[in-house]
Amino acid sequence: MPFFKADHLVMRFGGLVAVNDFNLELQPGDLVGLIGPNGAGKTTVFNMITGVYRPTSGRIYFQDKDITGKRPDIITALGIARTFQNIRLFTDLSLIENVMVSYHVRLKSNIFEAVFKLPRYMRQENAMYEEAMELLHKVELDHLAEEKAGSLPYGEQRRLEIARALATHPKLLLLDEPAAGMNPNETLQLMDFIKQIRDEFDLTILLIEHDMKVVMGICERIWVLDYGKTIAVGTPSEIQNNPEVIKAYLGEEEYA
Amino acid sequence: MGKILTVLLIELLILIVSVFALKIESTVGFLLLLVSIVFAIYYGAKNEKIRYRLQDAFSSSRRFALILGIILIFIFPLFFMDSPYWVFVITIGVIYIILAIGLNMMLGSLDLVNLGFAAFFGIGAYTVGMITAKYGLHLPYLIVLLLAGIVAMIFGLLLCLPTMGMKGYYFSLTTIAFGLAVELTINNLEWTGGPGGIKNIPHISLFGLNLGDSYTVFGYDLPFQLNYFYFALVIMLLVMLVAWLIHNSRIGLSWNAIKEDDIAARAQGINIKVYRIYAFAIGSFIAGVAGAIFAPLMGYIAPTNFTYAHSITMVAMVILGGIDNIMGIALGAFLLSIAPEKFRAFSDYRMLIYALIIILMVIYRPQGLIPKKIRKYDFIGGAKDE
Repeated sequence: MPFFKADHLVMRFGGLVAVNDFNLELQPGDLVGLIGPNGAGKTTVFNMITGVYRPTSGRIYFQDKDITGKRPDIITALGIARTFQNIRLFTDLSLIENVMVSYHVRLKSNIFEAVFKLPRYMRQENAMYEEAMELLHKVELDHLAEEKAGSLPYGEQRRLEIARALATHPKLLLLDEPAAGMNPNETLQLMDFIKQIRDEFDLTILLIEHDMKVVMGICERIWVLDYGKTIAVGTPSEIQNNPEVIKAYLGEEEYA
Repeated sequence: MGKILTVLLIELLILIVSVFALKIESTVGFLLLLVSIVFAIYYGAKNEKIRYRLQDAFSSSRRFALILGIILIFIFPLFFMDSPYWVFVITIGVIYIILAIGLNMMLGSLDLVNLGFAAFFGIGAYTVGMITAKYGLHLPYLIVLLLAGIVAMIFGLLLCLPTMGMKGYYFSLTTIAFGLAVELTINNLEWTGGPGGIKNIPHISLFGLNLGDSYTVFGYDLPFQLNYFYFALVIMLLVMLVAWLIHNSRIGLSWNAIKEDDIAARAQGINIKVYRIYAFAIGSFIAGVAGAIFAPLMGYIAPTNFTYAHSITMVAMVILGGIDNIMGIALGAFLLSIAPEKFRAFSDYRMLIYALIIILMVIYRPQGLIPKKIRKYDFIGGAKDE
């Protein structure tokens, strides 16, 4: 059994087939890209994996468990974390709180211990706070720990969102267009950062990205979706020369 | 030393002004006072120097400010010994503070606009009325208080489960229906006394003291309402303490995360159902407790005490005072429960002025009188926000 497996996933919304027969296998430590034109069904795949949608048919396996249709919070607790295409931070909470929220999955204390600040809870709280600060330090945002998340510029919000996802201690990290809205310099830094966290946290990473420089630069394998169907799988160089992919992105050539 | 003096003077000033505001009988005088208070606060908030000095004084002597504040609140009703009616009005104000803090667990922390909250208040009050007056059971009052909270909590969970997936106006609409259903049921059931309600609810007796008696202290005959005031005040301080602890624990933080973005909160591993159940259970329990103080104070309760209009008033209290800020909510609840009494002189225009204040507030200060603060983390010790 592979580390992660999506087996013949289909997602229908009424008459629309958003994803058709999607298959994916990941091994620990993979860094895989998922690309395709707008509306190809990439985010729908993420939503099925993380439990936001229940697939119409097909199964999802993660570390020998069938996780198809489980609640999002359970899937997070099992070790799959994600970021969102249109950044979903808790904008009115401070940076440190955004990260600390994610530790609650693993807290062992009950509600009374939490409310009355009993010793075990406070020990956990302290450890959690220190770890959260360390994560913020890693994404170079620790000096802004008590600012509101909504006050950050776009690129820093993306970094905070990744830190928040890392705080759940994931084994598989799904990044939905992490480079969107970043300038070329920020994008370069992001590419280094993604490789760095994969090695440091022993992650497997699946990422959706439109910026081909990012995808071709860091992904070892690439899945290409178009109209819900997987049209190509391969290494970056294979994908770049695949006629199906070129057709999907640029349209069919017409001979006069 | 200068800072402590500043805190002392400010808190004494607030006490004197509020006593004066309640006591003043001339309508013109009251309005003039109101205008000058608004002007003073506006000017003070605009002037950086004054604002900084006040903030600095209060934040560096927080404990002193808190203890002095509590002492002054205990002294406050003693200025109204000549008119027990005002002591009564203030006590109702304290009960509404308890209610508003309970409501904030849904409205403020989770953004669930519950427009039927008065139902839980009524259920608590009726539980006490039924036990003590209708069936004449002689249980210790604290047990009755607890039962009132528990019964309200059960109804809270009954409302929570079917509305689990609802947000926004779907949720609000359902809570309106729930509030009306409860009100109409107690209005139409013979078992609950129908429109006539429950009469002759006995006074609270606690540790051998009967709160319905007037006690003589240093030769002064104290009105019995004062006993209720102090009892309600102790409960209010307890409720405030618990609400503050919850707000600064991981429960308050998770509530706020769910309020900001429930999809992201679930993706961070938060089970939103469990946290919604917490909010309903604790919030409605608190409302039930408020009802358990209200019923014996009034001696007579009827469905008209727990209507839709009351629910709306409670929502207005939280919004006016400041969502998710306990001091703000207390201020909002107190002002809105006193205001109708002060505007009695305007007779027909009373509700109009009342409504106007709310509209102006929402336009010019939507975050409330005392807005929510960002929690500060100064480990070891956990979060603090006041």
